[in-house]
Amino acid sequence: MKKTTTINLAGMVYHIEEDAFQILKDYLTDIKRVFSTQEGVEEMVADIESRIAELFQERLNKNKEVVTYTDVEEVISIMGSPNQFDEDYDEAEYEENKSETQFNQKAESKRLYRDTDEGMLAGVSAGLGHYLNIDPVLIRVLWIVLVLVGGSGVLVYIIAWIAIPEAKTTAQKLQMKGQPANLDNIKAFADSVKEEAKTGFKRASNSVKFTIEKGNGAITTVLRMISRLIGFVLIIGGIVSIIALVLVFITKSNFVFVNGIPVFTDVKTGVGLVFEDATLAVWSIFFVALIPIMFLIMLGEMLTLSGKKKSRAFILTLLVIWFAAIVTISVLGAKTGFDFKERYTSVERQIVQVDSLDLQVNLFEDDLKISNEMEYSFNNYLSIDEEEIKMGYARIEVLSTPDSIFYYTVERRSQGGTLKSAKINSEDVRYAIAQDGNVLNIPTRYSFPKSSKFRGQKVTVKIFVPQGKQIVLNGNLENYPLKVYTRTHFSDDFIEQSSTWKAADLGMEFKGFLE
Amino acid sequence: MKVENTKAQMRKGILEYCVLSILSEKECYPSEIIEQLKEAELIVVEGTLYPLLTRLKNAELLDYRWEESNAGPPRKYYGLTKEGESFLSELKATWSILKKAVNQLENKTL
Repeated sequence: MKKTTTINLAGMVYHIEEDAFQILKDYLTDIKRVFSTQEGVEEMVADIESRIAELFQERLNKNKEVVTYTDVEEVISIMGSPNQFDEDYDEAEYEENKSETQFNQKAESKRLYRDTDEGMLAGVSAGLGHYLNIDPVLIRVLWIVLVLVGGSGVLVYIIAWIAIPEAKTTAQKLQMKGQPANLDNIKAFADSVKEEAKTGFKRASNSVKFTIEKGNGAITTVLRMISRLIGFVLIIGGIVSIIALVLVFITKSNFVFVNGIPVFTDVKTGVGLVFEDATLAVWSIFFVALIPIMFLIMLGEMLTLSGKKKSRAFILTLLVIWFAAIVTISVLGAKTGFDFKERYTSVERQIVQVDSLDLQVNLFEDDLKISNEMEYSFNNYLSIDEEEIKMGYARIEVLSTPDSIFYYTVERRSQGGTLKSAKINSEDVRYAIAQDGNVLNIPTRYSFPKSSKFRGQKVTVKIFVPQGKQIVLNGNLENYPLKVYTRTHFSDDFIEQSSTWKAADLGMEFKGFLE
Repeated sequence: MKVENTKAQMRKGILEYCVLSILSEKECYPSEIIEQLKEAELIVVEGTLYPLLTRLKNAELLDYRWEESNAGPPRKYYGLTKEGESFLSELKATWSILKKAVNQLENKTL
């Protein structure tokens, strides 16, 4: 069943199906437009109409009273499209009225319109893209650059928005793309739009697109623009985030806190420092961060109406991966957290025999500089090689003792899941002080095997000085965690240079700087 | 160079002449002209005729009169004007020269 309408063609009444009427009307309008420069075009169209009426007449009889879509299609193919008239005959006509070049211009001329169908905001970029025959993305990038450089892009865009008309009719849309607006093209265009509308409707029915396009009017237009803008920002932001995320994961731009000090490293090393299953942990962290960004980009695509709707299976897969990653990282985190539960400190005590009044102490900087604060704080603090993790700055304390001999203790401290594993970890810490005559060589670093992971390992050296005897501290000690216990318990002010200290009964006494 | 273009141009040149010839025999309405042209395989689509008729009429080589039709809309019967007749006789002369020239050349090559 089809609705019909009634038309008067060359003084005769015809019943015609509505869709048939539409293409017939378009056809005649098209002829008028193509021959608009010719004198007497109205009459010519009238003649064509009466011929069409005759052709209809041939197709109607007692049992067939209505002109159908097929009839009109047949008739149009018999009559031919206006550009077929052109091709066969009408070049001379144009030559009479216009010069050859004008003719060519007419055939190929493009007009600048805003393309609101393919546009993101007001269609300025898409329109310019058609006009200049370049990818609108390039123009959009240029806008962004212009916006970033002084914001001039915003003003120019608004001016362009106002100045460039919107391509509303099919003919304008074709002109915008530089295609001659003849019947064939209009029909092809209309078909493609119809097709798009069919598939698009399905795909959009449960998305934002539907609600946005349902309405019509100023508020809807504004809302649509805002949503496109937001969508655009989401896509750009999402892409930038993914790039940043990947960079973070492949470069040495992360820091982990080790004993309260931030250390820059790449993710794998940083995670591997603490976690047992480093690879798994890294991928879990990566997906936990990546998938929400992907969802934001997909939301942005939906808002800009440019994206194909992702399949439900795809979204579901992403969600499952995301939850799995969250669970994995939680389990690994909890497991690792338990490994810090117990704490154990093993103490080693060593007597130092000296044959003079003074004990010389050299801090030797085994490839560890302690000269400035930055290096102290960051990367020199930690270095990782194939076998072991080296950490900087054993803490050194100097105290006075009522005992009659020099001695020192080395405290190796570590954490672990059980007291036993904490003890094993602490015993794995490597640190060796060497005595050379009256000189005590104290390394600044300690290390532990990579396999034991970072479990809060720390080393504290305490040097006990018998009362009445002196100790000489050599080296630039300004930034070194070295503490000399004095009577007032303050010492740090004095030890940026090599200095001599004497043990008194309540603490160490500052004697003077060397040199 | 496309053969289609050349063919179209050749047809284009003689189409006016043929239409005028048809109308010199007797007055016709467009469908009759179309029928004859189609028989002679001079036009592909019927629409071609209408801009041509309009142009010849604008040049005052053609005129028309209305006539009632017992089946369908009233018809426009086209006929030659005085100018049309002299225009046609000039074309006729040119055509016979062309025909002769072409025949002569073709026969020589044969």
